[in-house]
Amino acid sequence: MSTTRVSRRQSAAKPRTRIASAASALRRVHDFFGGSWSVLIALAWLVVVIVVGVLAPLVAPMDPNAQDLSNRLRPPLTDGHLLGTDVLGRDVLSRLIYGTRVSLVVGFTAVALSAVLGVAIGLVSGYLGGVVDTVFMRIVDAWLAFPFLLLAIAIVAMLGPGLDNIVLALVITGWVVYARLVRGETLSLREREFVLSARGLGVSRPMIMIQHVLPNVLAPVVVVATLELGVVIVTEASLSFLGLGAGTATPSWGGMLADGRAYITVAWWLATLPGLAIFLLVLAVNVLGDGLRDALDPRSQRRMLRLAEGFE
Amino acid sequence: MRRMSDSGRGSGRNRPLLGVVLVGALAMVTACASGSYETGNQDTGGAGGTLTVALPSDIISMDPAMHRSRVTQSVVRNVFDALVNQGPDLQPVPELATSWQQLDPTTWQFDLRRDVTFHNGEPFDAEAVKFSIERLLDPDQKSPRASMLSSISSVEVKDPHTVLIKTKTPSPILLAGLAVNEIVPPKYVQEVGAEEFAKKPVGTGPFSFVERVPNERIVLQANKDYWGGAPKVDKLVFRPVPEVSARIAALKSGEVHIAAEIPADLAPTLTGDVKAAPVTGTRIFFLAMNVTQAPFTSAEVRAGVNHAIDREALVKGLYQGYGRSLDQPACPEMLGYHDSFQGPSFDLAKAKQLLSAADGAAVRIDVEEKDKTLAEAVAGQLQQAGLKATVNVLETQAFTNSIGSGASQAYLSSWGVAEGDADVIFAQHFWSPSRSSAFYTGYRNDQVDKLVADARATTDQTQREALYRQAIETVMHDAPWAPLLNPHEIYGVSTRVLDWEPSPIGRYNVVKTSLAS
Amino acid sequence: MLSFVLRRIGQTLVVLVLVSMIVFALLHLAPGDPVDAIFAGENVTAEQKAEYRHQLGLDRSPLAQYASFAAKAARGDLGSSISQGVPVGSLIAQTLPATVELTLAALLVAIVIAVPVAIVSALRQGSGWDRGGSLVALFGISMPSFWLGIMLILLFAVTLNVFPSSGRLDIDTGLRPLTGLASVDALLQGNWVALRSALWHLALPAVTLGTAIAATLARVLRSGLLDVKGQDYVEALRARGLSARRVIRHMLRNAMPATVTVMGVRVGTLLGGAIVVETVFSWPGIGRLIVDSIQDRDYPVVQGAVLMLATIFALVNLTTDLIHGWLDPRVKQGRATT
Repeated sequence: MSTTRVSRRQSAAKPRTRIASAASALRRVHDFFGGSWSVLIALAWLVVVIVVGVLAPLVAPMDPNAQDLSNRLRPPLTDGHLLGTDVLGRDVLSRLIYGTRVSLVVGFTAVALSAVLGVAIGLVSGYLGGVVDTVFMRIVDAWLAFPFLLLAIAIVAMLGPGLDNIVLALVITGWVVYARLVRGETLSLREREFVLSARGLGVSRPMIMIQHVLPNVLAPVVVVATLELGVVIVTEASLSFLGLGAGTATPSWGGMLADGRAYITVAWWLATLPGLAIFLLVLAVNVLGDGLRDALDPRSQRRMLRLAEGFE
Repeated sequence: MRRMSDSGRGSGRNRPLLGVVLVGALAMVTACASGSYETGNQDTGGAGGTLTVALPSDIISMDPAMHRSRVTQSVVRNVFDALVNQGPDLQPVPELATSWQQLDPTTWQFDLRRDVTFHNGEPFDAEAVKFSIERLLDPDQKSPRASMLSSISSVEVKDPHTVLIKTKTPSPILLAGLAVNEIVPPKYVQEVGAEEFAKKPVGTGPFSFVERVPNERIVLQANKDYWGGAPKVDKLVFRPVPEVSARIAALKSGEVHIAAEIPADLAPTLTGDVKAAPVTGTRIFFLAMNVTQAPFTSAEVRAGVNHAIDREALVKGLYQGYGRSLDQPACPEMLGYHDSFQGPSFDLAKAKQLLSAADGAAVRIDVEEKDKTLAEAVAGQLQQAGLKATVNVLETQAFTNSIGSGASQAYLSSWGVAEGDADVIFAQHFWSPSRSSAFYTGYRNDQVDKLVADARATTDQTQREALYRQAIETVMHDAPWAPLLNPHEIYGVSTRVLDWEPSPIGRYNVVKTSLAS
Repeated sequence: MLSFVLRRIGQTLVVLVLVSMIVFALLHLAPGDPVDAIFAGENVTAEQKAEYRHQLGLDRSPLAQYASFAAKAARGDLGSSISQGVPVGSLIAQTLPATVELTLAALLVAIVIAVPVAIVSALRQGSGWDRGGSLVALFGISMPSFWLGIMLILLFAVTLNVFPSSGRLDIDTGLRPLTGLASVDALLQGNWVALRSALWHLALPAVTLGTAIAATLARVLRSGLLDVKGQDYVEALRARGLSARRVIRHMLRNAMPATVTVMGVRVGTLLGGAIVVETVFSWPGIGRLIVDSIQDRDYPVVQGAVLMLATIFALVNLTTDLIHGWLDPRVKQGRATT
């Protein structure tokens, strides 16, 4: 297959190679995801959101904190304010654009840290087995029984609002998913031939875990991480909604939703639009996660992902 | 099937049945619920109808001694009376006491109203007054209101209708304290105990208690034998509805007739069968600056802040005109208000010049979630004048801690002065002996200290007014505060409600109120 | 067998103690205390606050306070709310049924939506129905529940004025509490006015919470059904000419255990969703009680309520484990199970 593609590319005229290679890269992604266009669209949307977040100062039409007390609560499609203004006359569109930063930063950071923590614990617990495993898994069980939102509320109440505290709360509640997943897979991989032979060769246990077991659990971890990203974004918004948000320096979607809630009868756009933004981003992330899961070899990975499914 | 039992549980058939059994058990557990909703059929079917009020939060307790909340008091005050009440100008008027006189600087004599009985028939007399006050001050009672009457040293029964109250030192705010602490029936309370009393309260007020369902409603019934005349409505019901849009929705749909605390922005939506009923409020909003922290160590910067804020724009913009801008730390109804004072004017050029003394320092304004919008607006105005101000939202307890310990560089908050006396503001915020209470701004001026101490030591109100005028002038010159505004209290009321006056202190005096049909 | 039972009970107790300690620690590490909350914005001196704290026993060392809390809790006495003075037990008794009613109604909504969707999706895998159903489920899990709640309020309560936007019941319905679940009680008493009022108030919150559950349930049930479908005996049943409906019933019964297991794990998330929904709709449930009490630093209420919830979870888990253990011969013989 690939040889045909390569030769086709080589035979194309020079000015066209760039477009053609981009098109074929796209095609490969498309095929990777089982020929599904929705996943491609979701990926594209995610990229757009990330770009908007990174380039916010360039993309936003106004300063998100510029107040105009004479122009408060204007509806969308008003002069100069495509999505209207809020309770202090600030431009909603600009605030939405800057809001992507909070969602993305909190989302990616929390997921990355949770994954690292959870994978590490799961690896150790699954590989060592015995007492260590039992203790860890009892802790995990207790953790799971605890309503995570309550824990997050308590932590944020304790430490005060602010981005880092929210990320901390999310990590503390989020690592469990990865630990359970990785532990289960490690348990089964432990007895496989390549691991046994490595042990026979005298390779140290940490090395086995990192070099042999870890690569094999990464794929489902990535899937779970993608799905967890959606959960984390919604949780951050929920915390903001409950008044435990990131503080006011940067606008956040959850915070905008919370502020707009009181004005729902006179200014529906203040609550609706941020929620829509959250919804679209999380939808894209979930479609991507599903696509990733389907793209992996269904047979061997399915069983692991059955466990993961419970944690969406 | 093997894959399914990965988590090590679940043997097929029994799980769904188990689920049903467990759910049933759970329902049985919750069957011990007492009074989750209406406990019976209270159908009086009278012609007066039922007046329903939507409150911004639930009450704490029906025991007048065991709460510290304005919302609770507004409900409790319909079941209980106090010795005195507050008139429209917030000054004391007779209630259970028909008259009073000060015999000497520390002794007050109250003549009590005759032929008043509690809802259970127990007579109201001087013993009841003595019991109620002593109960409040009793450390075993653990009343959070004890500090309001802590100046009282003893209560004597001179005769069944006369009471002598002695204070430790001359106390000019004794009447203000007595106006918000109600009288309870001694025999009944001693018989049933505090817990039962809170569940089934009995007082002398215009309404008697029927039932309370926490977070749902409080139902009161008209007391036909009320000494002030029987209420026109048959029942008075309070419903806590914390969500603003829900409160307005309930008002518009006719579920409630009066709704409290309507935000100014939503007042214009009250049309048709409902209307907005604004009244001047008693809450003072201010920006406090910590004079021990840069850049507020400089008097120039503080003055600059005062000139940078366009108070009128805030009132017009954020409050739709439902409020009054303040040029001093007092509002017009308060005793001690300086009515000829010339406060700082809004002068952007002057502000910029003064604020240049801040040298570009960053200023963080701490604020609670509920005051966030005002703080952001003020910060925006300060930024326009060249001060790098940002807003920092803190959780309620963290905020209280921060401002009380002096950690905050600046903060925006409000102080309710329902007592109508300037002592409330000065003693807490500008008087250095209270530094042990809370650090707040760290402001210290010996002259102000003396003025406040003198004002606390005399009961001559004219003299006190003069003292406070001076104090206000000094404090505004030193400017540890930038007083902002005093918003109106806006109620939503149905057009069916007749003869009701909105209260500046959140009360519901509905004895003369009736419902048109 | 006995050792297994004792071991599980022991583990449950340990978990409960751990939970109560964690909650206690978190609350006391947070700045501020209930006295600050009670006197917020009031004219009280620090000495008066300290005096009040002493009266309430809040100036003792955290260890002493925890010890007294634990000792009383073991006797079943959860103490009294600091801000309201009411026994914590009665607060829980008032709010827990509301949450239970909301949760049950939401589960009902979820089942009604999810089961047909999952069945159709599984039976016609890959078809337009399947993709449509999956898409709808995907929408469901992507939507923040508080946003959905606000949208529903905007549409049904504010614009169309069909459903009420908050509260549980209208007043003056004359309903007597029996189980604490308003709709059930109204049904049992034949009080149709109250029933309508209860159901109308339940509608929007239950749909909001139920939609979120439905989406996940649909996905999990669908994959469970697909697994079952692939098994040989299903083909055998169909070959024998069993009607489609009975085949489906077989499949459901066999997909049920795993589905329930997976959903059971998510009970914690369910409560989180209930908290948010209770806040949006001012539903007087235990979720809101806990959130408000955390704000007020009302330690006894938070500790008591969380302990109660944890106990319920733990008991449910314990009971299912015990019954599973009883049925599983490996456990009976004392051999390892995992």
